[in-house]
Amino acid sequence: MSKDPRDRTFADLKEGEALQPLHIAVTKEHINGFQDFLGHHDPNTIEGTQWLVGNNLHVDEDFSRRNMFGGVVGDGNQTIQYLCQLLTDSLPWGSLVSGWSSLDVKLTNPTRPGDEVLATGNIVRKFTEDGRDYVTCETKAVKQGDSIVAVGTFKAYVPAHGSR
Amino acid sequence: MANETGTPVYEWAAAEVGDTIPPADIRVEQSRIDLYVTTSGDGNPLYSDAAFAKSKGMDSTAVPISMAMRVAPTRRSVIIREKGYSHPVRPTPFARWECQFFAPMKPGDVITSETRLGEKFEKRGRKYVVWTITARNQHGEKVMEYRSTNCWEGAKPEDKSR
Repeated sequence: MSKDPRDRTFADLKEGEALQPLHIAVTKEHINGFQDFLGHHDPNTIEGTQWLVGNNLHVDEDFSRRNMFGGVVGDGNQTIQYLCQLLTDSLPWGSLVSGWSSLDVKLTNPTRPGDEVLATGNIVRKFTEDGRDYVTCETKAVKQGDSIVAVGTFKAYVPAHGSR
Repeated sequence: MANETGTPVYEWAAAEVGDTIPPADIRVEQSRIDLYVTTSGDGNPLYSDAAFAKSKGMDSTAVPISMAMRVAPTRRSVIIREKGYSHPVRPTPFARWECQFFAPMKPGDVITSETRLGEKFEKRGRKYVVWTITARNQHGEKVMEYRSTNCWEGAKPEDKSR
């Protein structure tokens, strides 16, 4: 029998069950890479962002040091990605990424290079609505064990095609 | 307040609910999804292996949630420019993301998104703006709607140690 939690079906999920924790060691390379994905390194990728050149809080150390956080910080989009991955690593295949889902994430503190982030969460409710199966998950990401960087509530559609 | 070229800066006071621009189209490229996989460390095979994704009942590779911001960005810099202002050259931290997904996105889809400034508010000495984005696919189906909140003004000394 597979030990991958994603091979389960909606029927296997339990209210109160913990999602498989996700640990992230934040590095400059990690932050930089995600800026590549978002297209923030190339102002031609996203119209109107020429002002970001040399002034990117997530990349440019001199600019970042002189500003609000006193150093480079991770993009909030990247912190949200940690929480999304927390769900997609634990819920049946296709959950959350097959439409009909929602999320609300509050970003409470920045991540910085050198941070050790742990994302955790639980299934707090499972239900069926308009013929679709859903779980509600409460999640959070904490750095260094005591500083919350994000809290999020997800309503994830769990498609019926999970295999066993 | 103006920048070095004399263009006024889009400070919180200049931001008006309803500020908007015409919609823009961005294609969901598999190559961008592949870049997500390599840069995020999320090696979920649903994103990169079409045969595997099909074996799990999907039509094609899945599109990670993070692609939402890539294919339907807030485009706030364009709104600001079109209004005759310049973007503040300082951090405007991302504070909250509330997103609802409807029809699933697929590689090859062309996403048309519309942005407007939906709300502005003050809280605990900081000033925030909320961008609201509605995105549709090439069939006109709504694929997502989100609210993206940025702290626009109100840096505090303690932010350096947060």
